[in-house]
Amino acid sequence: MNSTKKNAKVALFMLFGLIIFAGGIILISSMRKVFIKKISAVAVFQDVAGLTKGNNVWFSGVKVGTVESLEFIPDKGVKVNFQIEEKSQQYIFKDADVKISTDGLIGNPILVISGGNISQGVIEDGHIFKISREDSQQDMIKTLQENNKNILAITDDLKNMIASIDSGKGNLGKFLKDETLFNEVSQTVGQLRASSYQVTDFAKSLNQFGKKLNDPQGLPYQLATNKTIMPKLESTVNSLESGASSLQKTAGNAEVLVNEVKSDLNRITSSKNSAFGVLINNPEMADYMKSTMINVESGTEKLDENLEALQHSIFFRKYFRKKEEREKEAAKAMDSE
Amino acid sequence: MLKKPPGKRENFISEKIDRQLLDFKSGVDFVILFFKEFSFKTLVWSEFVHQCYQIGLKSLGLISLTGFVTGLVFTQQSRPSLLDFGAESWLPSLVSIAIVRALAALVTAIIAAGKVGSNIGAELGSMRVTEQIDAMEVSAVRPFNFLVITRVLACTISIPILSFYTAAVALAGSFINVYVNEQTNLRAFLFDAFDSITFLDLGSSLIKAILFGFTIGMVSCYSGYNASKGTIGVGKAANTSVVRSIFLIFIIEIFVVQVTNSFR
Repeated sequence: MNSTKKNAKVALFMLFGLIIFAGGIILISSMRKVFIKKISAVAVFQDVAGLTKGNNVWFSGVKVGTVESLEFIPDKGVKVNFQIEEKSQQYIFKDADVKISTDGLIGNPILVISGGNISQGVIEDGHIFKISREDSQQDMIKTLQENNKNILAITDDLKNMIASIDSGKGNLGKFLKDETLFNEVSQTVGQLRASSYQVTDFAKSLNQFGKKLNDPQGLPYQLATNKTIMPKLESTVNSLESGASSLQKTAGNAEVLVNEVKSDLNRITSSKNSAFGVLINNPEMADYMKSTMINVESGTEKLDENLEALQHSIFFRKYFRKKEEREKEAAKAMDSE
Repeated sequence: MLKKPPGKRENFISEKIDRQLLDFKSGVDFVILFFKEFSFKTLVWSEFVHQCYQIGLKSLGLISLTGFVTGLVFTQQSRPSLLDFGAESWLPSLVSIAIVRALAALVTAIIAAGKVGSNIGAELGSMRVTEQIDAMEVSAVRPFNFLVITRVLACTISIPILSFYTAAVALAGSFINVYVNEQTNLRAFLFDAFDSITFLDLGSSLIKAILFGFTIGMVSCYSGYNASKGTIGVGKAANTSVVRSIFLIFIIEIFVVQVTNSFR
């Protein structure tokens, strides 16, 4: 092969290799933001959870920088120095905090900047971020472990409970083991079932009643919908109400009257000077009055006998005969009508 | 039969181990000689370019196929595992890390050890057994400079370039697989792929590839240059080149990974 041609091919081969290498460097540089202006920032953590140099720094889910170095600070934790690209500086405010998270569930540790208020102004070179803590996977595992222990304890309790029930201890155990109790409960359930049938029947009746309520020919429906009856009913009710109120007033007046009569009667009956009080309260007067009444009764009987005798006398016999005839004629006239 | 003189051992450990140790020493001497003799002034450029052509360009087809299949298959095989976690979106970053950190350089080196190493071992071995190298020495051509330095240098330069090429082709294979299955576009794929790669990964891959290339060149040249026993020796040299190169490649891989991790 021609030497020049061979040399050209070899040169092209080497150039091609160099281009690939240079391309790799450029790509990594752009990913690592090597040729971008950056500012440095600091955060001090108690635990960096495996964060290493080169890990990404995210702000609102966007990669804005990388971790530059880590150094121990006695009694304080680990100081993380990281760089943030200058063009992102304007969006990150002084009161923003930083926490360590992971890229996905099982990804690399990352620094996550979040929060911040525009009124606080943007961060400057060398800014020290305040930190916030996110539950690590270890924390989650710890919580899960506690849950597991709780579940285990609950399972143990349940196991003991079931063992007690199985051995007939406790109310439930007795219930399950005691045949008499079971039969009683069974009967009760039977009764309940019968009651439920009755309730069902009642519900059916109620349903039918409801249907009747909705019947246009029924009274309730008419009451609810008829425009003629209801006003009349309303006026009747109003009249009844006014009548009732009048009656109430009358009753009030009557009550006053009765009270007054009662007080008068009390006064009369309790007084020993009035005639009625003397009649009621004085026994001697009562005896006197009794004997007087007897005398009057005997006097009256004697007067009847005298009058009877008077009818049969010659002077008054004609008068009584005419009176008897007039009475008979009046009775006849009444019958003919 | 003569008796051994009392109190004097014939071998240091055993005949076989002693031979291996001597072989190791002569290998180290060979490497030292390379650094002693290497100079850009005395480098035979035409031969160097020729070797770059033979090692680099002639291996391009094989490397392309291997790299493409590696990326494609690795992605395909990794998918079910990630799918179990619902993390198939991590495929680009997983594959790119695997390819850039290890696979590209390793696959290239193993393919080159098989193809280039055996080629160099057989070529130099046949030259040795047919006394061409001796003839070159006699004619003051300096065969070490002409044969060894050019080949080792060509390997050292071509194999890193081939490994970059392998990485690119493997990522292309991976992208095709990801695109077919997840409909991820190239931009998103590259973003995910290179987001996880660092300069340290790229640097360690480059250093590894350089070391692999140098090792393949040195081992192959040493095996061929020191071949003996006629045509059998040629075959043996070719075989030794491949076996020792691959063995050393893995040793270097372990070593470089350990060193690289100390910088992470």
